[in-house]
Amino acid sequence: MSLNSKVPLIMLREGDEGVVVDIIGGRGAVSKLLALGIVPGKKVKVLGNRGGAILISINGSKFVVGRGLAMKVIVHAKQKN
Amino acid sequence: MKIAMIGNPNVGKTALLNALTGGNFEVGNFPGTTVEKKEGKAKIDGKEILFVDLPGIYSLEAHSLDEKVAKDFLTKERPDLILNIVNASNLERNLYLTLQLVDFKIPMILVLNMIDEAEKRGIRIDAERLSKILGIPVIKTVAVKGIGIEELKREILRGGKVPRVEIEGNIIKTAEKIAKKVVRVEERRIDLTEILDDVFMDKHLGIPIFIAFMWMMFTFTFTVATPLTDLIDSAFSVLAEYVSSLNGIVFSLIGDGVIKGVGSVLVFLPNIAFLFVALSLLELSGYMPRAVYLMDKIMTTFGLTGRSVIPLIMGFGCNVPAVMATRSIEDDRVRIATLLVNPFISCSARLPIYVLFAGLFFPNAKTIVIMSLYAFGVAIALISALIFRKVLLRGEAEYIIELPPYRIPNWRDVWILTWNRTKHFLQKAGTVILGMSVVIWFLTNFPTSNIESSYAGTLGKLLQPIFAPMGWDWQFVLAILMGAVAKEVVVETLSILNTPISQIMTTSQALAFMVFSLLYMPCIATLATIKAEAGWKWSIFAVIYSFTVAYFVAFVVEVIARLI
Ligand SMILES: Nc1nc2c(ncn2[C@@H]2O[C@H](COP(=O)(O)OP(=O)(O)OP(=O)(O)O)[C@@H](O)[C@H]2O)c(=O)[nH]1
Ligand SMILES: [Mg+2]
Repeated sequence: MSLNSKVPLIMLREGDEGVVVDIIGGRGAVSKLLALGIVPGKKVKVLGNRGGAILISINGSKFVVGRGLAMKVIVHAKQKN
Repeated sequence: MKIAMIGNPNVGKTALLNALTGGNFEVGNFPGTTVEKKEGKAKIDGKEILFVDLPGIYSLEAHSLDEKVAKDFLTKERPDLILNIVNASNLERNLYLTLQLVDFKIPMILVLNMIDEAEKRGIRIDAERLSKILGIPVIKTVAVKGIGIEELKREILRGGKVPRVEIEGNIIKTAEKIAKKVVRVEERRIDLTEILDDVFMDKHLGIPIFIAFMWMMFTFTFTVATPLTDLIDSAFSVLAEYVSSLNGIVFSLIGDGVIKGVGSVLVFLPNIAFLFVALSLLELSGYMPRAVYLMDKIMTTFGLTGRSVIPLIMGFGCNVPAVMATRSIEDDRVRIATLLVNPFISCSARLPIYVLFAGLFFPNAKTIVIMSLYAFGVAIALISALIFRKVLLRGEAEYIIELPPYRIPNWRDVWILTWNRTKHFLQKAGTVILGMSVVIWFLTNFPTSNIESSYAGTLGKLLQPIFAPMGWDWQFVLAILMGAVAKEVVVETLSILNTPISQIMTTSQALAFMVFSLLYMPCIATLATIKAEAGWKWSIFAVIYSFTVAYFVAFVVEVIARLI
């Protein structure tokens, strides 16, 4: 992954962290994610990504996000050393 | 006084309703337990109060059906007071909805529920300060332990306050700012949830553990309950024999009809009750939403999403609440597909058929045969879902679901879930199944008591040709016909007819009969629910589709089994 890359959430691997920078997609998807606290500026950690839905932790809550929706959350991936 | 209970999903609204009213409403540890608004009444200091528990929502923007229902309730029914229930461990996110409620200018009380869990996680909330910022009373509660309920009742009598909050920028920013002011997080101790998730959600072990849980649920249902089942069985046999040995047609009706018929179904009460206990443990522990994640990939292969898993598992108990539970699936096409295939998930009403036939034809492999039938139902459900999604209900689906922490089910909630569902079974035994026993008894004893020339014989033989490819005797055809009302009636019919099953049926025919009974059509109650949730077109489709599939599959099974 390139330095300071902005990628869809779904691209992160298990254990990766990032910061939400944008949500793309229709009004429905955007407002739903906002209401759940998935908003730009929040730190997100990927707990599981095994080809199906993705498991994340954000704001101290855990969510299962379907792959389609996880494509719409753009994150700034943190570089792992 | 009318009070609306509003809050995010799974924050304990229904648990609080129970605490306030002493009611027996069903709670569950996953988002989307309550799908229909529930009303509970209470008298507080002599004052009649109506509590309305609404399905959980994250916002009031009315994108989903639940949000629309809640919004309509607030604008059209104008409750006197809103109890906004929030999860104390997650104040910031919950405040987003709170700040939207401000616009309605209805008096409010903020209930900080699950304080016990917040404290365990080292989260402290300054309730007084929060109350000042929002301009409404703030009460801390632990709904499941009754903590804070008396204080809440006193505050309810005072009527709450109309909130006045300054929105700075947008509500997301405002919620964040407020949370920063009132929430203090101390170091957290290790969490049971983290430890359990490490195991249950493990990359390699997760799915095997899920399958093991399902397996345990069924073994628990069969093995633990069997001694009780045998006991009830012999009690009913003795009773039926005694009554029908008395002289007179009424004794025959009661002995050979009602007691024998209803008894043949009631025998399964222990099995069914134990299945409900196991299911309620799944629903209350918080494991269900984990299954959503674990099964997502497999479900997606079949055109569904992980979200479909919860209704499918609930279907093992009864398809009626399971079909209703599909309401929490956001995507309409996935919802319809999940709801249409749900009747293929073998509910508890079909268990008597398997136990009876597997016991007669496969005495040494009873459990394996029964488990295979359950698995077969799941397979047909998934394949059908794939077909529906490819042909009738195409399109991408999106979803998100919150994972709650694991919670140790408390015995009261287990009891409520188990009893409500067992009670439903008993009511069915006392009404539909009893009524059918009279009908079947009448059909077998009139116009002549010679069974071959009775109405039952005539009707069965008339329809028999339809099922000629499977080679079933007329008694079985009649049982299928009667069982359309409720699947328990299949066994009841055969019992009242005194059918010598193992003498007039081959093993391959028996297998085909079990498969047919599993698939052939949703019972009347399930059909009514499908109609309510998806419209009459889909319910007619469900009948035609499942009958066709059942007929075809049963035929194939019969042929293959005969060859082996
Ligand atoms: N520890 C703890 N658990 C609670 C408390 N209140 C509720 N619960 C549990 O939280 C879970 C959810 O409770 P429900 O009352 O079903 O939640 P709900 O808000 O009605 O949920 P939906 O109907 O899905 O919107 C259940 O397992 C309850 O036993 C509480 O104060 N403390
Ligand atoms: Mg509820």
